[in-house]
Amino acid sequence: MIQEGEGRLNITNIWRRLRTTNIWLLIAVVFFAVFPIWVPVMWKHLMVEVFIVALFAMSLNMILGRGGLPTFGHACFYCVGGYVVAMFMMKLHLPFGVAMIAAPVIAALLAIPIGYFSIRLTGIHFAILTLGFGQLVWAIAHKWYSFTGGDDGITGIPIPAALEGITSYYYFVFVILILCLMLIWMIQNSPFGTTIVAIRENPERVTFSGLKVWHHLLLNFVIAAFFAGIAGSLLALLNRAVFPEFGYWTISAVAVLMCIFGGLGVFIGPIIGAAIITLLEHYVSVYTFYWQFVLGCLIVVVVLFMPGGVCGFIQDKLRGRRAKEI
Amino acid sequence: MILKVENLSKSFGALMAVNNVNLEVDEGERVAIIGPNGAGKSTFFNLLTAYFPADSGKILFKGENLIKLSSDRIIRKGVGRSFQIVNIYPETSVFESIQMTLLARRRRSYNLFSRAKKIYREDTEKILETVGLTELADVPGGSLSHGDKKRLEMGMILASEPELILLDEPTAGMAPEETVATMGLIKELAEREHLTMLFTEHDMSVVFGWAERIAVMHQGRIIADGKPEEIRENPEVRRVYLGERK
Repeated sequence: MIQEGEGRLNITNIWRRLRTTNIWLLIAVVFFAVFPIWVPVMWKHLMVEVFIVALFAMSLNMILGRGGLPTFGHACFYCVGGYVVAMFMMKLHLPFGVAMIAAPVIAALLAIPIGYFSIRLTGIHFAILTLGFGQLVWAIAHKWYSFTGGDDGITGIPIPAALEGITSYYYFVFVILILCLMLIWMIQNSPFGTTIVAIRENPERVTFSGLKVWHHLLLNFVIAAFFAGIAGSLLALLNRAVFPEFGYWTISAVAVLMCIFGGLGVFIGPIIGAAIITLLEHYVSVYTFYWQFVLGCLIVVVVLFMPGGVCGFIQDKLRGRRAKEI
Repeated sequence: MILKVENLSKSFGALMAVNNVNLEVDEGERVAIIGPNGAGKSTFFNLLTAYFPADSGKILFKGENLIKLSSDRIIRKGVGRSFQIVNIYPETSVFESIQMTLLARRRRSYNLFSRAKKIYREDTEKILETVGLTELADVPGGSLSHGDKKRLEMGMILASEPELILLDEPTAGMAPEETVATMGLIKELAEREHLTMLFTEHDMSVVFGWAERIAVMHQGRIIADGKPEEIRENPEVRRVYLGERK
């Protein structure tokens, strides 16, 4: 009853499984793989930005959606990822590969002390403390001229010749995004991922199942920072520059909106949210200065009428239809 | 002797909620702790599992003092507990709630790369069958009836593979026939798995029906401790507790 048909290999089963998720996944991957062939440069650039922001939103959702903790300081890991790439290559003259690996690792290391203090709090207190830490990192980037270049940021980041063209950089980011999503998917469906959701639902019960709740939340926080570091390094390379604004708290807040907009409870929710908001910003701001007014209206509509976000809404509709079919 | 509590005390301000309690429990015993509201029964359970810290005293579980340990470590030593207000995962399915508890108990919670769904399926199904929730495996915990929630919590306690189980009012809020079924299940489990059980209960028919020994608490102290028939005859108990109900 629980696993009816599962494991039995026959055509119907294979087709049913393909039909539900994998076929859409395949279509999406193929679509984005051929996408750069027939679109203008500006679109490729925009899509790379969507990929990067989507990865950032995905990493934030590990804390917000899975862990149930509203973080408003996640951008500091994004920012640190960018600065590490820039400084490793330009100040320490280390190779590209080393800088790319160092970015997420250092972001994750920074998440240990920040997480250590924040993770014991919940709700608004957690939000404010992460915001405070985030602003601290931003202030360092913003004011410490001799170290970070201050508000001028760091420009002219070198990039390997092979990645210089936007098309090759598109594929580079695309492959990293897919690898990261696969990893995140694995983690979310692992015993660790299940434990995080259980903690969100009832931390007391988890404690009385014999686990240290805050150890798991801290590890989750560090893993999320790791992926944010990757996103930050990719953004710095896309712009060939990094600025303190990467780490400003509004960047965290927008990513929180993306997650809520797309749907906290659906795997691809943050990606959809990131895509919709990034593309809207781009296209609406062509027509009006008041694009944030449009965003505000949309958020009101989503929060009031689609509490599960756009993806949650669609999922519910599909489930409802499937239930009717049965 | 699996549990030995020595001079355990806890006060909240001027109130001595648990006052110099001594209690010994043998392996495989079913002991009920009864007493009027506010007698300190729940506080006593909360001290045993470090839900909050004791002021003084010793809790020896299999000879080891639990007093300075955190709740999660006490659970890992082999103590399982339920709460007076049912304590489950509201959105997780019954099946996954049990499975998650098994994963936790068997120290797999730091595993980042296996599929959680595929681990310990058989053990989970076995526990579901034991507590009679096989039919409801896919239902989220929060949508269950009150009695089934209690069963789920029982299943989760079993999944944490304890030797000593603390049940805080296991039949609170149940209809009479549900009470009988639940206590029957608990007794059966205790005997089959050779579990030691300590429970608080309001329902006197449950207490005198299922307990092998009864300890009576009143104003933070244990005023009587003995076999059901001894407790029934004890004049002080009749005065402070049993008499009160008539």
